Amino acid sequence: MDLLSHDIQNNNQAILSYLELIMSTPGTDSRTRRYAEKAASQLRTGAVLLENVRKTVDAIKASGRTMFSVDAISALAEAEAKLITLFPDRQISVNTVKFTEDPIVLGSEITRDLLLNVLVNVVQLDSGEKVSVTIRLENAERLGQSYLRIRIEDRAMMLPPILKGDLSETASTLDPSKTVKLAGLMFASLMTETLGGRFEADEAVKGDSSAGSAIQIYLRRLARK
Amino acid sequence: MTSVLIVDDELFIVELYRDILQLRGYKVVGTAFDGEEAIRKYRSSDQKPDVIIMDHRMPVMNGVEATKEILRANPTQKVIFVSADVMVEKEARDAGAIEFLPKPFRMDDLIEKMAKISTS
Repeated sequence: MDLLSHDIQNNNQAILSYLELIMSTPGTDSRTRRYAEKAASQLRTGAVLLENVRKTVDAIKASGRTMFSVDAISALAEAEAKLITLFPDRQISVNTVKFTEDPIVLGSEITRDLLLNVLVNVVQLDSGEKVSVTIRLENAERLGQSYLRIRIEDRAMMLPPILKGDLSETASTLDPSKTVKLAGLMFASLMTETLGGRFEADEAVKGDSSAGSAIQIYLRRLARK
Repeated sequence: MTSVLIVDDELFIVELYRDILQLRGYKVVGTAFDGEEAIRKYRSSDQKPDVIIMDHRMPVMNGVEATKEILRANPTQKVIFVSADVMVEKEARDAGAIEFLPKPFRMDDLIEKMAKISTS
């Protein structure tokens, strides 16, 4: 995986650099420049997803991997900051609703990447030029286990109805030809599982499938020592 | 004119950096395809490059080892580390790399870092 990732990123490097050359060549018309910028933006996103795949595969491979306490609010802030740099051609606003309780969860080095991965996918699944994302943190209990639920809502993100619910359970039933665009979310679901959490897709507004979607990540709670 | 030594095991990457850097007014004084070749060329050059662009994953000797060796010979040598593996950043900085860029990066970012280094 490391070798494969290395080779792909080298190819990505070449493509990105040649796109930069097109953009900086005098006389390039504005439409060509815009297409090149969009291609470069998509390529950078793909590169982040690839890096996340590599990290997750490493994390899964590592038996007895190290888990530690992670401040979910800090991890979210880092992911948000990185997100903005990945889409210079989109107007993205992320509103994290203030959460005053303990934000400590069981995590690992992939926690921030998981959150970034979800945010990247939300932006990609929102076709608007302006993207408005709301993040809510809430305490949640499931089967006697305490979780911190991170709910990421986008009123312009439309997910197929079949995806609503627990993604890890529905993923295997989907037609592969229809899941390409959703592969990133499938992967985020896998990342969440490696952290002992749960991953769900939901409607942004209950009962109104036309009002956007939400992704819910449940991370296991840890009491602050 | 800032002079550059490019070290990367992929020919197309070396050619790409060389073409773009030359277009931007940099002088590419040498190229190497692994860490050992980089050290050999560095040692034998009369005029040391202002900056070395160093990849990590290469045959024979990786970028971290090559950086350590070059900085042992010349502790003031400026090395910009570039790698697809972000996990190697700490190791690269500990070895003495002054900057780290994860691949794929914008050439503008590389140029910016090189300009910062050459004016410092």
